[in-house]
Amino acid sequence: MKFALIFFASLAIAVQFSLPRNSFLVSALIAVAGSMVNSSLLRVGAHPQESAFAAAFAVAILAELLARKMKVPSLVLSIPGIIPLVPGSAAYRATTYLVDGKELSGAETAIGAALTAVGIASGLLLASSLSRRVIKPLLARFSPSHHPMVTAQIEGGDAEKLKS
Amino acid sequence: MPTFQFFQGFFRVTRKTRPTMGRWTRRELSDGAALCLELGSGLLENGGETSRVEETIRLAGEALGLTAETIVTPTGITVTFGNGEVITRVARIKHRVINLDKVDRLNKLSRQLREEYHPNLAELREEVQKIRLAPMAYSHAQQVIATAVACACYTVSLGGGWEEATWAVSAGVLGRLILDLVGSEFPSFLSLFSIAFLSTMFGVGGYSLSGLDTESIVVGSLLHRMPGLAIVSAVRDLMAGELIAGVARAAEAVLITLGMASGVLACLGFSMRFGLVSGL
Repeated sequence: MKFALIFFASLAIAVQFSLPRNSFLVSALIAVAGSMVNSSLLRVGAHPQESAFAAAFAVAILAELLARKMKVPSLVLSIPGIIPLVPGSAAYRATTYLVDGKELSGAETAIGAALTAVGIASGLLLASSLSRRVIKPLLARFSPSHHPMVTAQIEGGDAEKLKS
Repeated sequence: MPTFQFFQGFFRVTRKTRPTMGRWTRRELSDGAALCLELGSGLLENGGETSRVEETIRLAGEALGLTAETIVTPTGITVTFGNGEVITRVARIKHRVINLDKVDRLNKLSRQLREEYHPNLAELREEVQKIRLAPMAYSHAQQVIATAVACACYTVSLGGGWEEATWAVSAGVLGRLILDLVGSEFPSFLSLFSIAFLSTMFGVGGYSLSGLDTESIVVGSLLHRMPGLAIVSAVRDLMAGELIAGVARAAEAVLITLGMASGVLACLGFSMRFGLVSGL
């Protein structure tokens, strides 16, 4: 149920950011995978920060890999997956504590939310540096379809499509 | 129009090495520079990462046989092209929107430029301009519906019921319509503040009228405004070694979040002082 909701919300986000049409389904599925990682880790007993890190890493690495396969910018695929991980509830709770005069619990919750954001960022960092330093060179070495000469021949029909 | 047909075929053979074409005339150089700059600013103003812009300009220049040195920040591009003779161009990016469809199309175009030699620069440039001027891929009504769906889904997934979802949807859609009316192309601090204020008003209204859960209404109707793109591109830029651009994007993300947080804070504060809610 929750994952179906995330799926449809990601489709809506995709419309809002006007993603290219061929990447709608994949980006929503990546978002679902990310929130599955997130909620299953939370159920096992991980802290929200750790689960956010793992989920952001999963989203970003899936986006990097599939983006290479689909030949779209990886940004396109990862955005709908990142948005549900953002610690909105914790930030809101921190705000209510602050307004209520409970500065101590407010600060505690705010730091938790900020650390979750840091967790997301570091998950993204890890995935993006992995793809830049490890995956890209490996793919370039082993798969002939990533060689510029070969791709030029495979994609030869694209020029006509773009002109029309 | 200068044609470069005699270059055709040459590129296929010497892909690995940078082709050296002898001296370009001033006119040809400025045409090539204009094309690369147009590509780069199209990418930047539609939400492409800075590192992607820089790489695109460099590779497009290389495909044309020019050496391109660029400095790209989220608000502008400086490029020096040259092969013997040198030409420098600056483009300032004032309005930025998020339209990833255009980023994808421009990306495809630049890949096409790299992989098969295109004889006519003017034609390519027209193509880029056509993409830049194209209308949004989805109509306004479709976008409003998407906003409603996003608000409803996030609210319910945060633990709200269908009543909460109704409040959140009306808050989100109203905020979206107000933003479109104001006509801000890029969400500034004030518009984000007012949207957050509005959502919190709806949340407080739902609480005081029918005892609903304020948290899921407010967070559900604001979550789709979170700076996902800014976070992702900040991280990707930092990893690509674009320190200035990465820090600038991160600052943008912090600014967006602060705007929304202060809106929520202000509305909650007022409603608590005036006794509309007590102890959320």
